[in-house]
Amino acid sequence: MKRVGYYKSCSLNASSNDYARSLETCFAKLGTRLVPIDDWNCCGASSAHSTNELLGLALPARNLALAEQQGLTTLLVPCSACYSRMLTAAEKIRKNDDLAAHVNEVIAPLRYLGTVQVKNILEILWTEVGADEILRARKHDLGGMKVVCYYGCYLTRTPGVACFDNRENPQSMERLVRLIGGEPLDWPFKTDCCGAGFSLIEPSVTLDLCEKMYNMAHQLGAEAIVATCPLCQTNLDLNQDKLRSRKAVPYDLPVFYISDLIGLAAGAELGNKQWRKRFTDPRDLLNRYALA
Amino acid sequence: MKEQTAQERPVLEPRRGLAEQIKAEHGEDVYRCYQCQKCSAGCPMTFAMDYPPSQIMRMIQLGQEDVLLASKTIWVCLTCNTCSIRCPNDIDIALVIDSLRERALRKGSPPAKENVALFHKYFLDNVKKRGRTFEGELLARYQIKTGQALQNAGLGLRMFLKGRMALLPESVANKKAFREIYRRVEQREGEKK
Repeated sequence: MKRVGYYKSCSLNASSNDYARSLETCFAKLGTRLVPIDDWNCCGASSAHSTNELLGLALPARNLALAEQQGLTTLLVPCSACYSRMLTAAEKIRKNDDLAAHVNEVIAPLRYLGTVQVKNILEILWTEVGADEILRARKHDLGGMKVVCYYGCYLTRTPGVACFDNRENPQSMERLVRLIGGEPLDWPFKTDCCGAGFSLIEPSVTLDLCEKMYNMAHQLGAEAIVATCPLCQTNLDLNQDKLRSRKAVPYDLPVFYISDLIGLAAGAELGNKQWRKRFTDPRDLLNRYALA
Repeated sequence: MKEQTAQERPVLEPRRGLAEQIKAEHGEDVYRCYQCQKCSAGCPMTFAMDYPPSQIMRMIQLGQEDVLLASKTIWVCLTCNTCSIRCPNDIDIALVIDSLRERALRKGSPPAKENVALFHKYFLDNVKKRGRTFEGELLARYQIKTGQALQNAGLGLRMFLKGRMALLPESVANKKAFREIYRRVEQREGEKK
């Protein structure tokens, strides 16, 4: 079985424990074992880099050093905010010896040498798992389910690092959806900000950013939103719940993780245990496509 | 943004030094900005800012530190990085704004958006304690302090009812060793003052 390192992170450990379950179930079907970093710590996103650059590099560097010690050369970072900070730290340390020495002094006695490749979920699915394996594992078909793929801010926008996909109009998630028989719709908000970072601080700002997306998705006839980040998923899921009580438009789009859909296609049994954790219940939709 | 009249508009005395310090500390050369305003055109948060990102860049070139550190912009920016990846001169604008926020905290300049500064502080305190965030505690502490406890009380409860709230915190194995990271960073901060 193929092994891939796994940075579980705070949100997958608590408020988005459904994403952890989704990933672990999906990868088991795809013949890949996710190996968690032992003794991982919070990477500090987004408060650390927002207030202190050195702390914003040192917290991810501790995780990278631990992963390196465990012999993990490829690391899946499922949360986009964590992904962006881990990638930034890995690249800055790799490219700048002075900075590397400085960060290593802070995390001593640990030491990061720069051998870990940080990857997001889409990259892992394309480069570590691969299309052949996804097709081989496929038992069901999404039956042409119309979805909009949402990448958000941090998947394609890490400054100073070459991007795995097109920064402004990425396609790798759409291609995955097509592989398993879904119909991804072209839409203009795939890399816009949903404001998850302000969901506690300025909830009304976040709600406005989300509402714009829901309206567009509805207008295009989408049946669901597909996301990769626990913060985006929770935010897009939760805010529909808030709007439902106030507005006439039916805000009822389930928000899936890409691993939910690939897992379902591969015959993973996620079941009620998974779907009752969502604020917008996807079970009617899944029943319509005989996927529940 | 409200349009200011000529009388209201502050007269800027150009000063040097700020852009040079940002370059030395964070590696970004703000002098490369030629005011194409692409950053401001793409920014999703300008509606809540007092100065859009392009004006922030110009004010750094002109050394207007007091105005910058007192601005709403530095606390409203979500670091979505749209500006940074679109800048034709390859300035990591979001990082430059991060550096201004860092500077404001270091110099004790009162934040124009107090809640944002408070959230970051509580978040980092929370991480410092155990090496991992304990969301329930963070939520409660922040909401009680900002008086949002009643307004947002439902959120924690709804997450809890969905089985998405951990009841007990988790920690790294050696908390004392982990806190050394914070101590060393704070020590280096102290040296910069």
